[in-house]
Parts: sequence; structure tokens; C-alpha cells
Amino acid sequence: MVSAASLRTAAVRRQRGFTLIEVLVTLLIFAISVAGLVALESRSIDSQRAASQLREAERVAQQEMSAIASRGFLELIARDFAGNANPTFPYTDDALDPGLRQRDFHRPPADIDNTAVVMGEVRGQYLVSRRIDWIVNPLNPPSGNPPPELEWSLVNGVEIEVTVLWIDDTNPAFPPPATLRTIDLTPAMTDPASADFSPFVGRVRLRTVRVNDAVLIPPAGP
Amino acid sequence: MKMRVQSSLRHARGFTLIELMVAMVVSAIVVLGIFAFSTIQQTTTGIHERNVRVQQALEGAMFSIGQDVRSAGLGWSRLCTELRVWDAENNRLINPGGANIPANAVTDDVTGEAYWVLRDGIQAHWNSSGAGSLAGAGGAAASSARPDSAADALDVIVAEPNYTGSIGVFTLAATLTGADAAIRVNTGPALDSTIPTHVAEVQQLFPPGSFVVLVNPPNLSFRAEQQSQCVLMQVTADVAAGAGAQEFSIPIANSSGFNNINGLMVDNNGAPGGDDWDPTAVNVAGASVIPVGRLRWSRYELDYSINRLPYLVRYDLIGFQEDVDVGNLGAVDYPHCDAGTCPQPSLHLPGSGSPPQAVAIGPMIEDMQVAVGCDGYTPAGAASADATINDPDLTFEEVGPAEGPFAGLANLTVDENTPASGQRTRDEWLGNAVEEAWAPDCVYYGTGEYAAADWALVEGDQNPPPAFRMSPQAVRITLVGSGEFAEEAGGLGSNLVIPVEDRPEMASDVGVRQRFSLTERFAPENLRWRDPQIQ
Repeated sequence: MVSAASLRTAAVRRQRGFTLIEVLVTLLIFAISVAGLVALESRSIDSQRAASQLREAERVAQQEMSAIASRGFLELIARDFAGNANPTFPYTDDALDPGLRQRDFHRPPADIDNTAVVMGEVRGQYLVSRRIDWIVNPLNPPSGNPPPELEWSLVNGVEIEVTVLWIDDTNPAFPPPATLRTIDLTPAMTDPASADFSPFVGRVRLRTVRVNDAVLIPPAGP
Repeated sequence: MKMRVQSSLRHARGFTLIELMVAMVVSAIVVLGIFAFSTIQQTTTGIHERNVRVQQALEGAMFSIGQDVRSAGLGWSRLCTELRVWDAENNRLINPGGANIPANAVTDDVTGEAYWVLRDGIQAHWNSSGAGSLAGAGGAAASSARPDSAADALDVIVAEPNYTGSIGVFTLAATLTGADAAIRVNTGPALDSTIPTHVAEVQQLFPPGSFVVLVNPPNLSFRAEQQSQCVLMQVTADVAAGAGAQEFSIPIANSSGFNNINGLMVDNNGAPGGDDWDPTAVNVAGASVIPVGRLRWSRYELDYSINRLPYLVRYDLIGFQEDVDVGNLGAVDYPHCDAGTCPQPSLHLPGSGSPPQAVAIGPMIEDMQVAVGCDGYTPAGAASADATINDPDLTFEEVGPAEGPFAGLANLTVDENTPASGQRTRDEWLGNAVEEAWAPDCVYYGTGEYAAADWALVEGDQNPPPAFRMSPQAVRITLVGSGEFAEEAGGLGSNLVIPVEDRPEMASDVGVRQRFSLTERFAPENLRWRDPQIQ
């Protein structure tokens, strides 16, 4: 026979609450999950930044491509990016001063001093690298590389490649070295097969082919 | 038994008030935390989405403009120094060369400039004399085309590519006179107007409502000084068979305001006006009649009439307006219109009785700046046997390299120069130029080159002449778009619009926004400067 008093005592025992250990363990688990959420948030902000960097890089690449596309076909054959006449294919602008190949985030062409700061820009954020190769008929190629001027009509087209590189600091797993500068970047750094491969270098590459749409220059007559 | 029930009841009696309150407080904290996270997420997603929307607006607008810029002047600009266009409402020619002296040239009601677009198929309006703001002082009519706006506008004329490029296929059979309601054209022996299917084929090349350009005889080589103004006329009905087996009749009734033969063919160009027009050289048997399809003359400008909602719009100065223009032409079916429904586009000049109507292109585009790159001048291209034309300044061109295969040849590339002895300084972009005391040297034979000094007197201080009369070799367009919603100052948002081309940093009417710009460079592919081989 159980008395009413002992029953009450049992009930009181049953509702006596959590022990300190229990509460601490719960708090710990809760803290860990909150910390996870915070980490998730910071990763999410990082990936948003990565997306916006990528988008800007695409914009830079598109602008460079449109600048090349707006040049005459013969111009592309006649001079390289440094203005040297009759370049050998393929030619690139890698020999150009990297300072001239830097592009700024959020900086449209403007009639202002190059050193003036424009709102929202990030100085020297992107490095542009361009490459032009020729496409010729293997059965009827020009007599040499570079092609003699009278044989420019034998260049059937050019392959245009624009690569935009930037330092991607949005991945905590691969932080870029503090000393790395944008002008030090090279396209090889984004090639997994290369010894220079660096996972913290972002890259956008556009490639297109332009056919010889200029009026063909007839070979010199007799 | 009773005891057990009592006990289980006690078990099931629920939480105490304290327990409930603690649980509620704890869960409230947790929910608040989650809510805070989701709010942050929502905010960043919102920012992201708005940015993407601005970028999309920019890309879309640039695509529309780019399509037109690339095909500007298609079909005629390499063949003609200018298009002669008749304005029936005011009984006048509106092309600059249609005036006997520069002072009499027709100017646009909004831009205040002569219609140089009829020369190259493209014309930038960057005249912003003294403009202190993007919107300018236009109020409800505020637009980037007005000189008081610091933003730019752009005119283009594009023809339909599938109709153009047929110079010499159709030639004028007999001189046009004022009483003619049709152009008699001859073709080669491949077409026979006695065969109904051949007539049907030619009909499809000249749909009613489309345009034809009359060009001087194609037996002349494409040397600048042998080019002439061309005549724009509109087809008003179906093509019919002509008198001979190779003759067809293209109706150009005066029901279309463009077809005033007497007005178009008048020779009122005494010196020093446009001497590139001689009706007896163009209105002759053998002159080429080129179909250009439904030619469209469009103006891209920013509409600032609602100052917080700037919009990129397109006005069609030659275009079809529903319920305004005739839309019942044609007795046979055409690709774009069934029999009896072909539209007849007409001239809609700003300020006229039937002004152009705006077509929305892109929202929230706050600024458009247009720069024109030019470095295509060659003395050979401008050489003329006509003693009445002043030779362009031969030292105007940028000298080429001192050595190598290009030694001594002019540098024809549009580039940003560095100062060097013997070269003009800085850039070759007009509408931007750091030192605009030097203009690019894309000059070209035609009305703009005749009496250049007189044109400069009329057009004001566009230094130095010729300024916007340049034939553009490359066109660089920058659009600035801003987000739809106000942001807090101090972050990425600002109430200032970043400097673009020759426009300094300026306050915005839109407010504090994050802004994005998009710059693209286009080569109008049909202009003569594309290929130096064509003189």
C-alpha cells in the first residue's frame, strides 16, 4: 500500500527540473549549432563576394573582347598589342607592362587622371591577358610566320582569347599570400596541370574566332 | 485501481508555469536568432537580386544599342555621302547637304544639331554645353538628347540586311520627273518581267512601305570624290511588270511624304554648300536603285521626365506608328505583312505635327555617354580633283612608326596616344578626349568637308571642326545603371554618379543608390573606315 504522501514526494522528484550538467550539455550543443550558423553566414557572404567578383571579371572580359572586336581585321594582323608591326603568331600582350593591363573594379573610361580615385572602384583588381592566333588553311598557308603583307588574305581568321585574372580571397581554405599582387598573376596559375597552380587565383576566359572579313588584298600582279 | 488512475493523472498533468515560461524564453531566443540570420540572408539576397537586375538592364540595353550601332548605315553609307530625305510637312530637304548654305541647314528641335546621321548612319549627340546635371533643365521634356543635359544620345539609321547589297542589280531605266508615280528599273537577263513568278520575286524585294535608295551609276569606282548624295524614296504599292522584258515598275506615289521628286532632285546647292550633289549625275538612266527594306531611323536617349526613374528609350524618327501611319498597303502577301496590311513608316521629326513616340528599352539607366573613335584619315581617301574642295590638313594624321614595314605610314589605329614629338597628344576619342584641342582625323569627302569653316560658324564651338561631322571608326558607349531602391549612405551606395568620359562626377536626381556601369566598344561595320582599301 503506497501512501498519498509518498506519491507526492515521487511526483515532486519527477518534476524537480534539470541538473546543471544537463543544462550545460544542452547549452554546449546549442552554442555549437549557433557557431555553425554563424560560420555558414560568413561563408555565404564570402560566396556572394566571389559571385560578384566573377561577375565583374566577366564584365571586364566582355569589354576587352568588344574592344578587340571593334578593330579591323587587318589591324589585328598588322600590329600586336604593343603596336609593333607584323607580329609573329600567336602573339600575346604578356610583354606589355602589367600596369597597363590592370583594370579597375567599377571604373568606366573617364576623362580624369589615372590616379584619381573613383567611387566604388578597387584599384588594380583585375589583370587582363590577351592572345591572338591565326587560322590558316594547312594546304595553302602563307609563306612564313609572320605572313608577308601581300599574303594577309591567306589568313582565314584569327582566334581571339581574353583571360581575366584576379586574386580570389573568398575561400578560407586557400587564403592568398599577403604579398601577392595582381600584376604578379599569370594564366599558368589557373592551370591545375601547371607547377604554378594556385587555387586562390580566379579566372574568366573568353575565346572566339573572327573570320577574315576584310577585303582580300590581291597578290602583286606581274 | 483508483490509485493507479490517480498516479497516471499526476504523470500527465503537464508542465508547470515556470517550465513553460523558461521553454518559451529559450525558444524565443532561438527563433529570434534564426530570424536574424534569415533577415541577413534576405537582405543580401535582395541586394544581389537588385544588382543582377541592374546588370541585366544594362546588358539588355547595350545589346539593343549594339545591334543597331554595328549595322548603322547598312546598305547605303559606303555608297553615299548623304541620304537626301524629304520632309513633306515643311516642304524641305532635311539632310545637311540639302541646304544651299550651312546656315540654312535644318536642325533638330531637341538636339539643335543638323542631321549628320544622314551622312554616316550614326550620330552622337554629346553637346552638353554648360550642362550642370544629368537631367538638364527640360522638366517634363528632360532628355539626354538636349544640349542642357550632361548625358548623351545617339542617332542611328539601319536598313534591313536581307535587302541590301544589291548595287547594280536594278538600274534606273529613265530619268525621274516630278510627274512620275513609279520608278522604271531595268534588270539583267536573269529576270524577265513577262514571267509572273519573276514579277512575284521582285515584288518580295520591294515590299510596299519599304525604301529604295537611288545611287549614282555603279560604273564609277568607289573613290570618295566620285561619291554623291543619294535619294531616299518609299515604295507605295506592289511592284509591277514594266514596258520591256527586263523592266519593272516600282510605285513611288506621292501618297508617301518621302516621294517628292521635284524637291528631292532640286539643285539648290550653290557654292559653298554640298557640292557632292548633282542631280544630272544621279537622276540618270543607269543609276542604281537599291532596296534597303524597312529602313529605320532611331534615336536612343535617356528620358528624365520622371526624375527618380530615368529610362533608356528609343524614338523612331523614321518608323511606323500604329493608328498614325497608313497600314493597308500591298495586294499580295509579304514575309512581314499579309496582303492589304503592309505598314508605311513615315517621317516623325521631333517638334513636327507627328512627333516620334518613345519605346522603352531599359529601366533605371541614369547615364549614357558616347565617345567616337577616329583615326582613319588617309590622304588618298580624301584626294579630290575638284579644286573647289579644300584639301584636308595633311599634317592632321598621326604619324606612324619610324622604322619597320609601316615606316612613314600613318597610324590608322584608334588608340590612346602618349605625347610624342610630331604626334598630336593623348587620345583619339571625341566626346571624351582629354585634350580636345586635337580632334581625331576621320575626315571624309562630302558635305561636312565642303566649307568646313562655315559649318563651324553655324554649329558653334565644337573644337576644332569638323567635330561631330566625323565618320566614326569606333563607337564607345558607357551606360550607368542604378538600383531601384534607396540605400543607406556610407556603404556602396552614393548620391553621386561616377565620372564617365568627359562628364565629371555629378549629383544624381535618383538618390542614394549603388551604381553599375557597362562599357562596350563597337565598330559600325558598314562605314568606309572599316577597310582602308576602299578609298
